[in-house]
Amino acid sequence: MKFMMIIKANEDSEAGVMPSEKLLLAMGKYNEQLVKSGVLLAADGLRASSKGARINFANGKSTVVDGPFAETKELIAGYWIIQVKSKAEAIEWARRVPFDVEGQIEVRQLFEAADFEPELRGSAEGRALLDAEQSFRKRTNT
Amino acid sequence: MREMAAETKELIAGIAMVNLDSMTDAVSRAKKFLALVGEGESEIRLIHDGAAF
Repeated sequence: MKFMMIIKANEDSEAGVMPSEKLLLAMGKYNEQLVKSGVLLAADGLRASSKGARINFANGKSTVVDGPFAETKELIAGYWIIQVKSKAEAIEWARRVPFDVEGQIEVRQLFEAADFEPELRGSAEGRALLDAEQSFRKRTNT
Repeated sequence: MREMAAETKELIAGIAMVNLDSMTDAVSRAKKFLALVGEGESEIRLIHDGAAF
Protein backbone atom coordinates (compact mmCIF):
# COMPACT_ATOMS: atom_id res chain seq x y z
CA MET A 1 0.00 0.00 0.00
CA LYS A 2 1.27 3.45 -0.88
CA PHE A 3 0.79 6.36 1.49
CA MET A 4 1.63 10.02 1.29
CA MET A 5 2.82 11.62 4.50
CA ILE A 6 2.14 15.32 4.19
CA ILE A 7 3.93 17.83 6.38
CA LYS A 8 1.98 21.02 6.94
CA ALA A 9 3.37 24.51 6.50
CA ASN A 10 4.02 26.96 9.31
CA GLU A 11 4.88 30.65 9.53
CA ASP A 12 8.58 29.96 9.02
CA SER A 13 8.18 27.76 5.96
CA GLU A 14 5.80 30.30 4.46
CA ALA A 15 8.26 33.10 5.20
CA GLY A 16 10.94 31.19 3.30
CA VAL A 17 12.97 30.55 6.46
CA MET A 18 15.02 27.40 5.97
CA PRO A 19 14.91 24.72 8.69
CA SER A 20 17.75 24.78 11.22
CA GLU A 21 20.84 22.65 10.63
CA LYS A 22 19.76 20.50 13.58
CA LEU A 23 16.37 19.81 12.01
CA LEU A 24 17.82 19.21 8.55
CA LEU A 25 20.26 16.66 10.00
CA ALA A 26 17.46 14.96 11.94
CA MET A 27 15.34 14.91 8.79
CA GLY A 28 18.28 13.42 6.87
CA LYS A 29 18.61 10.61 9.44
CA TYR A 30 14.88 9.98 9.29
CA ASN A 31 15.01 9.79 5.50
CA GLU A 32 17.94 7.37 5.74
CA GLN A 33 15.82 5.12 7.96
CA LEU A 34 13.04 5.20 5.37
CA VAL A 35 15.53 4.28 2.64
CA LYS A 36 17.18 1.49 4.68
CA SER A 37 13.76 0.04 5.44
CA GLY A 38 12.99 0.00 1.73
CA VAL A 39 9.76 1.95 2.08
CA LEU A 40 10.64 5.36 0.62
CA LEU A 41 9.43 6.03 -2.93
CA ALA A 42 9.71 9.82 -3.08
CA ALA A 43 10.10 12.88 -0.89
CA ASP A 44 10.26 16.61 -1.50
CA GLY A 45 10.12 19.90 0.32
CA LEU A 46 8.03 22.69 -1.16
CA ARG A 47 9.05 26.30 -1.43
CA ALA A 48 6.78 28.92 0.14
CA SER A 49 3.37 29.39 -1.45
CA SER A 50 4.52 32.87 -2.54
CA LYS A 51 6.39 31.03 -5.31
CA GLY A 52 3.24 29.20 -6.39
CA ALA A 53 -0.20 29.81 -7.84
CA ARG A 54 -3.74 28.47 -7.74
CA ILE A 55 -5.83 27.81 -10.79
CA ASN A 56 -9.58 27.64 -10.44
CA PHE A 57 -11.74 26.23 -13.17
CA ALA A 58 -15.51 26.59 -13.27
CA ASN A 59 -18.14 27.02 -15.96
CA GLY A 60 -15.53 26.63 -18.68
CA LYS A 61 -13.33 29.46 -17.44
CA SER A 62 -10.09 29.45 -15.50
CA THR A 63 -8.74 32.06 -13.13
CA VAL A 64 -5.20 32.24 -11.76
CA VAL A 65 -4.32 33.55 -8.31
CA ASP A 66 -0.65 33.97 -7.47
CA GLY A 67 0.61 33.06 -4.00
CA PRO A 68 1.15 33.61 -1.17
CA PHE A 69 -1.96 32.00 0.28
CA ALA A 70 -3.23 33.06 3.65
CA GLU A 71 -4.36 29.85 5.33
CA THR A 72 -0.87 28.76 6.46
CA LYS A 73 -2.02 25.77 8.51
CA GLU A 74 -3.74 24.22 5.52
CA LEU A 75 -0.76 24.60 3.21
CA ILE A 76 1.73 21.86 2.51
CA ALA A 77 5.44 22.23 3.17
CA GLY A 78 6.55 18.82 1.95
CA TYR A 79 5.73 15.16 1.56
CA TRP A 80 7.01 11.61 1.54
CA ILE A 81 5.53 8.77 -0.47
CA ILE A 82 6.07 5.41 1.17
CA GLN A 83 5.14 1.84 0.39
CA VAL A 84 4.15 -0.09 3.50
CA LYS A 85 1.96 -3.02 4.49
CA SER A 86 -0.71 -1.14 6.42
CA LYS A 87 -2.09 2.23 7.47
CA ALA A 88 -0.82 1.44 10.98
CA GLU A 89 2.73 1.13 9.63
CA ALA A 90 2.35 4.44 7.78
CA ILE A 91 1.17 6.10 11.00
CA GLU A 92 4.15 4.67 12.86
CA TRP A 93 6.49 6.26 10.32
CA ALA A 94 4.56 9.54 10.55
CA ARG A 95 4.95 9.54 14.35
CA ARG A 96 8.71 9.41 13.92
CA VAL A 97 9.00 12.52 11.72
CA PRO A 98 11.34 14.92 13.53
CA PHE A 99 10.10 18.41 14.40
CA ASP A 100 11.80 21.39 16.04
CA VAL A 101 8.89 22.12 18.37
CA GLU A 102 5.57 21.12 16.88
CA GLY A 103 4.04 20.13 13.59
CA GLN A 104 1.43 18.02 11.88
CA ILE A 105 1.65 15.11 9.48
CA GLU A 106 -1.33 14.05 7.42
CA VAL A 107 -1.29 10.44 6.21
CA ARG A 108 -3.22 9.66 3.02
CA GLN A 109 -3.47 6.41 1.08
CA LEU A 110 -2.73 6.63 -2.65
CA PHE A 111 -4.82 5.10 -5.39
CA GLU A 112 -2.98 2.43 -7.35
CA ALA A 113 -3.61 1.27 -10.92
CA ALA A 114 -5.48 -1.82 -9.71
CA ASP A 115 -8.09 0.43 -8.09
CA PHE A 116 -9.15 1.70 -11.53
CA GLU A 117 -9.20 -1.67 -13.28
CA PRO A 118 -12.89 -2.45 -12.73
CA GLU A 119 -13.86 0.77 -14.53
CA LEU A 120 -11.23 0.59 -17.28
CA ARG A 121 -10.82 -3.10 -18.16
CA GLY A 122 -14.08 -3.14 -20.11
CA SER A 123 -12.89 -1.14 -23.11
CA ALA A 124 -9.86 -1.20 -25.41
CA GLU A 125 -9.25 2.49 -24.65
CA GLY A 126 -9.40 1.79 -20.92
CA ARG A 127 -7.01 -1.14 -21.16
CA ALA A 128 -4.59 0.96 -23.21
CA LEU A 129 -4.72 3.63 -20.50
CA LEU A 130 -4.01 1.05 -17.79
CA ASP A 131 -1.08 -0.32 -19.81
CA ALA A 132 0.32 3.19 -20.31
CA GLU A 133 -0.04 3.87 -16.57
CA GLN A 134 1.73 0.61 -15.72
CA SER A 135 4.52 1.40 -18.18
CA PHE A 136 4.93 4.90 -16.68
CA ARG A 137 5.11 3.50 -13.13
CA LYS A 138 7.72 0.95 -14.15
CA ARG A 139 9.79 3.55 -16.00
CA THR A 140 9.71 6.06 -13.16
CA ASN A 141 9.95 3.44 -10.40
CA THR A 142 6.86 4.86 -8.72
CA MET B 1 -7.68 10.35 19.88
CA ARG B 2 -8.61 9.75 16.24
CA GLU B 3 -10.82 12.31 14.50
CA MET B 4 -12.11 12.77 10.97
CA ALA B 5 -10.30 15.44 8.97
CA ALA B 6 -13.35 17.53 8.06
CA GLU B 7 -12.05 20.43 5.95
CA THR B 8 -12.92 18.78 2.63
CA LYS B 9 -12.11 21.76 0.44
CA GLU B 10 -8.55 21.95 1.76
CA LEU B 11 -7.80 18.25 1.32
CA ILE B 12 -5.71 16.93 -1.54
CA ALA B 13 -7.15 14.51 -4.09
CA GLY B 14 -4.03 13.99 -6.18
CA ILE B 15 -0.66 15.27 -7.27
CA ALA B 16 1.44 15.38 -10.41
CA MET B 17 5.12 16.18 -10.23
CA VAL B 18 6.45 17.78 -13.40
CA ASN B 19 9.77 19.23 -14.46
CA LEU B 20 9.14 22.39 -16.49
CA ASP B 21 10.97 25.50 -17.60
CA SER B 22 8.65 28.08 -16.09
CA MET B 23 5.68 28.86 -13.88
CA THR B 24 3.86 29.97 -17.04
CA ASP B 25 4.20 26.47 -18.45
CA ALA B 26 2.96 24.97 -15.18
CA VAL B 27 -0.10 27.25 -15.15
CA SER B 28 -0.86 26.38 -18.76
CA ARG B 29 -0.73 22.63 -18.05
CA ALA B 30 -2.85 22.99 -14.92
CA LYS B 31 -5.48 24.85 -16.94
CA LYS B 32 -5.57 22.04 -19.52
CA PHE B 33 -5.92 19.44 -16.79
CA LEU B 34 -8.76 21.29 -15.08
CA ALA B 35 -10.52 21.80 -18.40
CA LEU B 36 -10.51 18.01 -18.79
CA VAL B 37 -11.79 17.46 -15.26
CA GLY B 38 -14.56 20.05 -15.72
CA GLU B 39 -14.16 22.08 -12.54
CA GLY B 40 -11.97 22.34 -9.50
CA GLU B 41 -8.83 23.93 -8.17
CA SER B 42 -5.17 23.10 -8.72
CA GLU B 43 -2.37 24.49 -6.59
CA ILE B 44 1.05 24.81 -8.16
CA ARG B 45 4.01 24.70 -5.82
CA LEU B 46 7.71 24.99 -6.52
CA ILE B 47 9.84 22.18 -5.11
CA HIS B 48 13.08 22.77 -3.25
CA ASP B 49 16.09 21.37 -5.02
CA GLY B 50 19.15 20.04 -3.24
CA ALA B 51 21.03 23.32 -3.58
CA ALA B 52 18.45 25.08 -1.41
CA PHE B 53 19.76 23.20 1.65
